[in-house]
Amino acid sequence: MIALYDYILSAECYAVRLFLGMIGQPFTLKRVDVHPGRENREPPFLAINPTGEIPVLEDGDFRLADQGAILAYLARKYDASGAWYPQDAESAGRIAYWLGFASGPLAALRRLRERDLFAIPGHDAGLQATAETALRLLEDSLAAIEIAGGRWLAGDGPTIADAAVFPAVALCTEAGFSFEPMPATWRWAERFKRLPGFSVMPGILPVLLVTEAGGVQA
Amino acid sequence: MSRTTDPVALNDWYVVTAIREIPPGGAEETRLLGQSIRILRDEDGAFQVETLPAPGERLRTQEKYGFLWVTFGTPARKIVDIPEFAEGGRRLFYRGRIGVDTSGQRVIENFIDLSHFSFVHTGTLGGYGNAEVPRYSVDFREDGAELWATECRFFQPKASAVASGAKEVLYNYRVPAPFIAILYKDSQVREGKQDAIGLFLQPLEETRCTVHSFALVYDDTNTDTHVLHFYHQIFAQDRGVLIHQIPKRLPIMPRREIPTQSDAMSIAYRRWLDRQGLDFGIDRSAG
Repeated sequence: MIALYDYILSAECYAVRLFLGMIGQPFTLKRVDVHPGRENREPPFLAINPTGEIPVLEDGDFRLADQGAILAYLARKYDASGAWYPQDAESAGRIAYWLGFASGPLAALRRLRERDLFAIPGHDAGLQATAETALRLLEDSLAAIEIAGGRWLAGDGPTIADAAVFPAVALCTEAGFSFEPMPATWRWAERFKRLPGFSVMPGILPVLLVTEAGGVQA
Repeated sequence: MSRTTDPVALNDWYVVTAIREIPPGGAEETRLLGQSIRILRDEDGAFQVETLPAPGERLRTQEKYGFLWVTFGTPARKIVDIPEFAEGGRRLFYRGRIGVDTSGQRVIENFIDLSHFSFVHTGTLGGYGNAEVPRYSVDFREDGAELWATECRFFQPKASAVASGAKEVLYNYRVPAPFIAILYKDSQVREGKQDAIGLFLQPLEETRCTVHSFALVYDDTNTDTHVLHFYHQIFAQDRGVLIHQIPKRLPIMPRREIPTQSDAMSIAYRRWLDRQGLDFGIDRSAG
């Protein structure tokens, strides 16, 4: 059974929970008291991941940290269709680029959100500038993809690139950003939310559909 | 901005940190009512709070319920009495600090509202099929110093981390100060007993606050972390809504409202804030 070291409010943990749901793979949670307990900075957890970061995935005896690495592993091992992680040179290259983007510049956005969320005092202008640049780059890329007739970051269909970038971006309003100057990003996020197996986390609203009976379902 | 001149806001007690957040020998800077303050803890664990820039004014402090309380003024009343802290049987959870980019009053108003459960906490505290808020009572106690809502009932799919199934849950809400709210809800495992969950708001600015909170619950099964994750899920769902509410200061003039029956507690809170003469975090414009 797959187990995930998890914190409910972590955008990176959400990326893994979300993807496991989308490929229909069952898993269990090992909940970590990140806030307020800082359990991930204590020796028992540091023995599991020396960087103190979550998520960490366990699949039998195999253990892996880093959301991008975990998504790549899960897609190769459990997505029989291969659609989430296509291996042609161009797709693989683009996916590697966006996984790097998600763990690099987008980390600034996640850190800004965590500062706001956990009421950490002060303002970090460097993080703010990095996050703004990252969101502008994403918006320009998605606009160019749309103009060329595409819908997803790295291929004809959704890939682990979309799954890695979506969480932090969908939560950007929690870091004080607005979707207003990012229409292509908004449309891409809404497309992603309509994929089969999609699940929410706190801060992300489901797409509500009116049923034939007149009720509402998520 | 600089420290408010609102006497009602100044003459009250506020939590500025949980005691466990600052180790002996530690220090931290924060804000309260538009004023920068520094919290110092000496090697023996004693706290001192002063305004910035240094050398500033030394503020009155008290430690209660595991939190550090301060005031700029001379409060007419003591720090709220919460007898459940002295009772045995419940587990105490400190739930960490959560920052919210809105007024403290918006957070309190959301906390005492039943009608959002089905749409914001779908699957736990409410569901689309049971959104109706049955009629409840609102009254004032302690010579009008406290606002209460009682006989609140709501059908909840999963009322707490330890709840095993959907059921109707009874609630009481207590607002003993403008920036403090406590809810009492039926325990899911002890017949006739209630869990208590409370928020102590630290208004940093008029439209920014830090939520310090506790839960005193009956739960013999779940780990601390499991219970914390349940609460953080609930609170982050609220926060996602709160940061989008406009205006951020709470509008309290009746002309700006079109309330329904289920808003009785919210409306009572707004009128009660108005009567106290509080200005900080309040929008008194007529719209």
